[in-house]
Formats: sequence, structure tokens, C-alpha cells
Amino acid sequence: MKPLTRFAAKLYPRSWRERYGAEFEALLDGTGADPRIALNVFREAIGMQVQSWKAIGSAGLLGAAALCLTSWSVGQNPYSTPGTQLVFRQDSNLGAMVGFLVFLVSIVGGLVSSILRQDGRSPAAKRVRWASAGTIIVYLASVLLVSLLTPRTIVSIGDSYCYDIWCIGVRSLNATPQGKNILYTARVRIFSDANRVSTSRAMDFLYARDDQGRRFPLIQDSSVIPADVTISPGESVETSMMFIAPANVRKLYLTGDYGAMPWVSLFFGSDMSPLHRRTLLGLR
Amino acid sequence: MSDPTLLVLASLSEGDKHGYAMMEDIERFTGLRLGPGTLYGAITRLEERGWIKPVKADDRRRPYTLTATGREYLKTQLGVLERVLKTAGRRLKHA
Repeated sequence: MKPLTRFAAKLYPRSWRERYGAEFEALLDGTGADPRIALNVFREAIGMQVQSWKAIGSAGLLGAAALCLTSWSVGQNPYSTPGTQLVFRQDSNLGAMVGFLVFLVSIVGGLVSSILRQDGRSPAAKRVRWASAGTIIVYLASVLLVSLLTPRTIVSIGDSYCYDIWCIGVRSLNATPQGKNILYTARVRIFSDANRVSTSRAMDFLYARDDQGRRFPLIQDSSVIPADVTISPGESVETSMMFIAPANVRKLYLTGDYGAMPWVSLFFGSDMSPLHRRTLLGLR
Repeated sequence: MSDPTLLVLASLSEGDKHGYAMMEDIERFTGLRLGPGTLYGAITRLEERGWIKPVKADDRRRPYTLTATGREYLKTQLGVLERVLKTAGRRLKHA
């Protein structure tokens, strides 16, 4: 029965075994091979495991609840830009650099780990592998955390927003009542943030939406410069965009289905990160 | 009086002991043989509360000693038990 008792002793939490394992083994050496002893050790080991899970689970639940509450509170207070012709960007150079650095670390870590394993240094290879994986996990968790705790940015009329090198800013908004609806005409400036390459967006990627998430598609108007106009480096065009929304809409925004490259969503501060509150261009 | 933590404190009130010696001692004065799991569950709780502490050991068997707060706690518990026993005895006489 001793092997069963020793197996049961291995079921204690690791931290407990590190502290009491040796002396407990010594005690088991002096006890008989009674099945009741194995049962007693098994019962206590499971009890200790449940206790440690409870503590970890409670701390995790408490942390998650605090995070949700803080995130909800942050979401209640969006940041409105001052409307003084400032330009806000969907991503940041620093965020992209940190992301690239983490990518580089994981690649180098993987290579070093492979070399160490081939050299027969398995424990060292394992440590490097774990360190690389840990770096990636901590990085991704931080990106999610930053996204959760960042308030939404509302780009005010007068300011501009850049998606990659394609930028747009609302200059003014006219409202013409049409029965129960209102025809809105937004004067916008589309410009390029690039130094060398031209840029354009698909015609239908922009749309208007209200604070309840209702979408209002733009009305195609052949008499104005289309939204999918190709912009050369440094070029800027003025055009207008029209859409109809019900008169009872309280808040209106211009936004788009940007369709970011997958890796962009893994950068700090990117508008495309999971859980990030996407920047909107405020209309009213 | 079968609370394992109290039994361990009572055993250590006589002097420092390691796990096996505690088991033997407790069996001697109560007739109860604590399982190793139960004994170390009690030791873990008592050490967390600061009522006992380990002392230096030459081998794997680590002896434990009663701390001042542990001794105070044991005295308080014995006082409570004494009152319970006196009251129960008195009531049984009159029953």
C-alpha cells in the first residue's frame, strides 16, 4: 500500500510539497502500509488542492470583476479631441516598434532553443522556450489590458484621423430636414500621410452610425469627388459625403470597416486591437 | 477534544517533537491515531497562524516548537474546555 500512499502524497499542491514534502515523506516512511493511511493522505491532498484553487479562483474573479468595472467606467467617458486641426492616428510608431521587438525576441528565442536542444542541453532549451512564450503572453495580455483601459477617442469636427497613411477630417456638417429624417452633408478633407506611395480606400468602406450602433450608408453622388479617390503623397482633396438618418438620432459619427492587417491588431495603441474602442469621427 | 490542531498544540506543550513523535504522543494521551495527512494538515494550519514553528533538524524529520502566541491560544482553549467540562459534569449530576 506504500506506493499508493506515496502517489497520494504527490497530489498535494506544489508549494506545499516544496515546504513540507521531505519531512512528510520521512513521516510516511515510519507509518505502516495501511490502506486507511493512503486514503487519509489522499483526502487531505485533495482538500489542500481545493483550498489553493479557491484562493487562485477568488483572486482571479476579483481581478476580472475589478477590470470589467474599470473598463466599463472608462467606456463611459470618451475623449473628444479639441477640434483645433490636430491629426490622430490609428496606430503609433512606438506601438509598432515594441510589437516588432517582441516578434524578434520570440523568433530569436525559438532559434536559440532549437540550437540548445540539438546540443543536448534540453533544460536550457526548455527555459529559453518558456521565457519566449512568457514574453509573448505578457505582451498580448498587456495589449488587451491597455485596450480595455483606453477610452474611446471621438475626433471632433476640425480634427483629422489617419488610418495607416489614409487620412480624413470632417470640416463641417449641414443638416436638411426631410420629413421624419434628416439629410446630412459632411464636408470632408481626405489627405495622405505618406512620403512616397499613393493611397486610396474602397468606395463603400465608410459609413455613418449613431450611438446605438445603427448604420447609415453614404449616398453615392456622382457630382462630388468619390471617397475612393487615389491620393498622392502630400495631396489633399476636399469633398462631401451625404447620408440620411432619422431626426431622433442623438449622436452621429463617421467610421469605416478598415480591415486591418492581422498583425496591426497586436500593436499597443492600435485602433484595431481586440477589445479596443475604435476611434470615431464625431459629426453631431 | 478531537480537533487535530488542539491535539498537536497539546502534544507540543510538553516539548519539541517531529511528526512521528507527535502521532505517537497523541495516540498515547487520547487513544486516537491521527493519519499522516490529518497531522500535516493541522501542522500547516498551525504554522500559517504562527502558533508553532519548525526548529533546526539534522535529518529529514523536522521537529516543531510551540510559539508564545500558540501557548496563549492553547491556554485559552483549555480554559474554555475546562468550563465546558465543569458545566457538563455539574449538569449530569443533577440530571
